[in-house]
Amino acid sequence: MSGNNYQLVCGLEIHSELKTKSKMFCACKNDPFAAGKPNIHTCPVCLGMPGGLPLANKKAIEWTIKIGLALNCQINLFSKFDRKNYFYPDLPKGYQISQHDIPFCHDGFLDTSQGRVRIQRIHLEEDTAKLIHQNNYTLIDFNRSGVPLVEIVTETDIKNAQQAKEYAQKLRQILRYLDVADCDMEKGGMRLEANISLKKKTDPDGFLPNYKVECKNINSFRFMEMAINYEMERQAKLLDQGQTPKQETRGFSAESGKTFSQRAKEEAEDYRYFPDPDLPPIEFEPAEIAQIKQELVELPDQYAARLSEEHQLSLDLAQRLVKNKKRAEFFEQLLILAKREKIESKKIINTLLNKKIDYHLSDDPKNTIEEYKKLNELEEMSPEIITELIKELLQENQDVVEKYQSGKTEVLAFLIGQSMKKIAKKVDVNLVKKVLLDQLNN
Amino acid sequence: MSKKQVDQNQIKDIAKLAHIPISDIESQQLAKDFAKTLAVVDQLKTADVSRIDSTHQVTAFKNVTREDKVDESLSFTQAEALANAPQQKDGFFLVPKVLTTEDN
Repeated sequence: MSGNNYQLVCGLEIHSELKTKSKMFCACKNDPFAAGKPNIHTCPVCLGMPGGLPLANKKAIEWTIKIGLALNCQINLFSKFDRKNYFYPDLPKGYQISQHDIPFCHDGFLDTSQGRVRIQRIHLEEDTAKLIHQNNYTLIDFNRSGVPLVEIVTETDIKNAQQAKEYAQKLRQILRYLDVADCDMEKGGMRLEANISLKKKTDPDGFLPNYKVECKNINSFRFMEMAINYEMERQAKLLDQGQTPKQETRGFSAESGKTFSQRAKEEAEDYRYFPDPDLPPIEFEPAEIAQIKQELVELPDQYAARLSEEHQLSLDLAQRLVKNKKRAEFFEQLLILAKREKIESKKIINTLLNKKIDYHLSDDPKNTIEEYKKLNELEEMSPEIITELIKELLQENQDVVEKYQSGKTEVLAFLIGQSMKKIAKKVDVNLVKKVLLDQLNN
Repeated sequence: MSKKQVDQNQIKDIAKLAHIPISDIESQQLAKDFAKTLAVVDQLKTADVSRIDSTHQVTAFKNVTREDKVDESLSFTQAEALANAPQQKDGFFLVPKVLTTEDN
């Protein structure tokens, strides 16, 4: 059986740190990347000292709801925090405060060009400390410990690596539009994890294979795409040989472009979740959710659709203007001014996108409009001089003139081009055409 | 009171999760002790809970949150944070090398 006989079954789990001022359960500064020194933003709560009492950050909860609403989720009006128990040095309490059976948000979706990706759940938890592995020991920095972290989990709707990449990129774009996360992939502010398995193309919709490979801690969209493609090939080979790929966690090596086994999962994890008795449940009124919904900013897809409609641009072109919010706002201002000046929207946008005018998103769009006008300004030249120059041109191109007069009118375009060249100034092309026709038809 | 059976393997699994090393003899003894303890806890099953909602907590508090404000007066200095560390290096906590990958 060849690889073409298999269909990818893939879901993504994406973690993103929220950019609140303070940490999730204490008043320490949330600034792990710019801290400069290790262990300078800590307290008894985020160091997991006995007696430290967590107090939930209201803004982080509201932002999680906001993310859920932006991703078309249902919101649980009653929710709570649970303890996820496991031992690891990045987690001094012996448990992570997370959400188990009642996450803040569930059952949403994000549309990609290859179809809808359903979102199973979004929950809020605390990030762990950062570990730096050395040859013979491990170093720990708790500046990151307790930073609010959202986890966004999809259903297994992703059909190929390209779609996984598009989903993740769109998600990052939305988080940035909402202004709740920086999503710095390189520093680990956003981390990707893909669950990958294969089924036969003949298996029914919704069929789930009896194994699952988790590729964890991938820190770029391209690496995720490579990891998925590599896994598809690796797993197809095993399946062809009649084997079931091992249920395990695998890492991705950027150097080799391959995934590698990190940890076999012999038994189901046993995190012994239970409600955190230090943190009372969170309850919302429907009106509070409605209020957060009202405060939602326009999201990239909506923004592009509106620009396309209001300014007669193709949707594709409009999509290119809304990559980030600052860019979208710059172009919208520019388009409004262009409309007032009766400049054709598509023309000015193409001029800018083709870099015929130097522009920066921090520029005043008014100046950009002025530059555009200058670029397209017609130069003054009297009709008499134009006529003289065209007469000269026709003298030099008698053969072409004859062609025209014998009925080959398509040479007109050539003559217009040559005329503009001879005139060597930016004059009104319609005037040139008129003079040319007058001369040719005389 | 029903008699609960707890075998040694279950005890070993629990010990592993708790990171407590135990010997074979200890696991035998613990299996017996656990069975007794579970039998006591099992009495809860006789309580009628048919008219009680599932209970997540017992304080009756809800929505206990804080505003998103930094209060550095509550934070440790680096030296304070590291004061109880058995080993430290360049401002980091130092622990024996860990091999498995990060979780969460």
